[in-house]
Amino acid sequence: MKKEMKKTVKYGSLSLVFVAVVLAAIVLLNFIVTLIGEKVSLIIDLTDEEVYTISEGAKEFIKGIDTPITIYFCKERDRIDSDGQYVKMVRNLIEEFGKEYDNITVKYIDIDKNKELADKWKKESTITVNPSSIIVEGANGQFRQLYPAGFFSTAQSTGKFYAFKGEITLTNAIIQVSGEEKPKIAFTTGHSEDTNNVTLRQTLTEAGFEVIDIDLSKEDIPEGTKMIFINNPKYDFQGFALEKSGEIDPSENEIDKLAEFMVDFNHIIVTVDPDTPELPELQEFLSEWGLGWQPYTLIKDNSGSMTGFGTKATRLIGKYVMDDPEAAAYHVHKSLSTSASPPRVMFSNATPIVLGEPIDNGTIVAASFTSQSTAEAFKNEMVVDSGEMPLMGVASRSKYIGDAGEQVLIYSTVVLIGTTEFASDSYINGQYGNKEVMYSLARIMGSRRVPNGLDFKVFYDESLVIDQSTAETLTVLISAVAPFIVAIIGFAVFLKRRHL
Amino acid sequence: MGAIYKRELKAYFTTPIGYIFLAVFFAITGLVFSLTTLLAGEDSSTGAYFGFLVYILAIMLPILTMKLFADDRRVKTEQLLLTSPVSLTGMVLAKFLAALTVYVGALVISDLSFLILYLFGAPPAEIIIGNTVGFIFLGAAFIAVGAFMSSLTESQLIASISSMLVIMLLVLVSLVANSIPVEIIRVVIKWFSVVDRMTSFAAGMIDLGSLIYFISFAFMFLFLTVRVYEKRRWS
Repeated sequence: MKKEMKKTVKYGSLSLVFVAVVLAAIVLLNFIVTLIGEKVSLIIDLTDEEVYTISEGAKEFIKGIDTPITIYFCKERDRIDSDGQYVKMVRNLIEEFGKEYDNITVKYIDIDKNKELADKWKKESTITVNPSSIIVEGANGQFRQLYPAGFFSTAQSTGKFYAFKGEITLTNAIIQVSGEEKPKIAFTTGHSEDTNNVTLRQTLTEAGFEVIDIDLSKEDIPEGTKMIFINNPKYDFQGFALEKSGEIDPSENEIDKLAEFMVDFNHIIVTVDPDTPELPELQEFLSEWGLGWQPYTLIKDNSGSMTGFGTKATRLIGKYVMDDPEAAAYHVHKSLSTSASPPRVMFSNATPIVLGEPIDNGTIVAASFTSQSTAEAFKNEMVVDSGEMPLMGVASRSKYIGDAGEQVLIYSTVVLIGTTEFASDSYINGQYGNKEVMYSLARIMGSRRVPNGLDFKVFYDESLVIDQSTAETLTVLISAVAPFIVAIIGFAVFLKRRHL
Repeated sequence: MGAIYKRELKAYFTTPIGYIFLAVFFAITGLVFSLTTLLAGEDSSTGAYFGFLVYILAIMLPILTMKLFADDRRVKTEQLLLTSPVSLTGMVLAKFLAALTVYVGALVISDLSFLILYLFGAPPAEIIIGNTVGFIFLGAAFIAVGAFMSSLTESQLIASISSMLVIMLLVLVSLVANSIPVEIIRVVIKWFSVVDRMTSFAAGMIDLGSLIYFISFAFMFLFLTVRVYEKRRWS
């Protein structure tokens, strides 16, 4: 009896061990497959458009980039499973990029737990970093924030996604953050510009620029400079009039340097206010871009302004201009104006901007912000204008560069802001949208190029053209008739076998 | 093994069980198909149909598998199987394949409904094929679960209900896991979720990792079924 018990225990234990080993082997196999899946794509893309496969065009753009790139999802990987099919598509694409290129790393972080990282990015985008954000960061600290919706094209009529443009969105972001060094922004000096703008400079530094000062009459614009900031000039720039009269050398022609700078497709921001005098050379330069301002003109608005310190009715609340979603002027405030509660953007002590005809037909000129409809412009205490007057004008040009099939689209912009207090300490804090607008400008101007030649990948159109009665008839056929026939056959077989 | 396979397959169509399964399966899938495609018109979505199909299988397949082993125990023909010259693995495999054949046949026949869609639009053939492949493997895993549960009892009712519970647990596990705050635990639990693994197929991809998961899942439960019979043979 005891021997029998011993045998039972022995063979029973052996059997259990065997089962445990086999189960462990199965788990191990699947674990290995999961690990392999993180390095190598185990997906067979069945779609016509190869929606889940990186195209050869995108590979061409990315292969020349050696800079380490890190792509952060701001939530844990498995949490994305509950965000729906489209967000998973974005995740799949980004993970495919991570598998394809050794210098691209994909990370998942809980933005609510990783405060340090979150704060670093939230400094640049005060209101928009959230668990849905996707951050593409280069080794030099430059980064771009993306959202899953930005990876898709939406049909205007239905509001539904009809195509996947993930490759374009992601490739663009990777190119933008892969610069070997930070782009420079040069504040001009020599015209009594405002130099006591610590907060503005800090904001631009946080936005990824290296901030320098430059006296154009004495120096050439350093290489790597992407933007020139002319902040509240009180004296005119040296230009062609002085060169022609022999008062300056060609090397001291500041306007010529600005013009050359813009030929290379760079960016300029100019701030003026009601006290800015006539500056003929600078005004002529800006007019070629379709921009100008009304000197000695102050906008007041009793209804559309903030009360508080300073002169009443001059602390204007800017009105978002949403006329042309394709214009650079719209992209300046898009992240704010499309949010659920757009913050106020302040234009204090402002002068109206004039939008005219640019010399180049390819230049698009538009206002990003205007005054409210109740505003009035005063010159010499007389009303000279009223209504929605431009407060920020954006002129932009674009062109394609590169070889056929690998062309990229690049932009050049001139922004004229009708207040010199836009980025002052009073308004650059989180309460207003001014800081976010500065970041948007920095982002638009910091980007080098946009890849061309990458196509949208259109989804299947599964819509059916069928009338209701036909659909109902077919429903009855499929869901009732076929099963009924099967049931009849079954019943007949059952009856036949009963009688055997 | 071939003889057992043929016998089991024949049994599905000489008794009411096969016809009941097919009739109910066609009725439910036909109705869901119509609701998600024909009656939806402009909003037709094959992905939605296949999304519902997971839950349909979770309820229907246990009906197919409940008699696989439980019936033999009930009518005491189990001893014949245990003493037959066929290996236990062969016997289990034969019964499993018989159930799988009936299921795959039903699935393929129900997929013929998609041909109707070509009269009114352009349904995505790749997504339909990809999903069908995925559902064959998913069904194999569910049938293996049902076979194991059937081997544990002689009551077909208990076999079907317990199979449904286990399968529904696998289907709904991701819902439960979402509320777990610790990532590693959540990931481990979600790893068992079949719904998450089927979303790739619904989107037009064949995920080799998921296929290997379903195959190893089926293998595991068939292995356990063989172990149950090994124990029964020698005790």
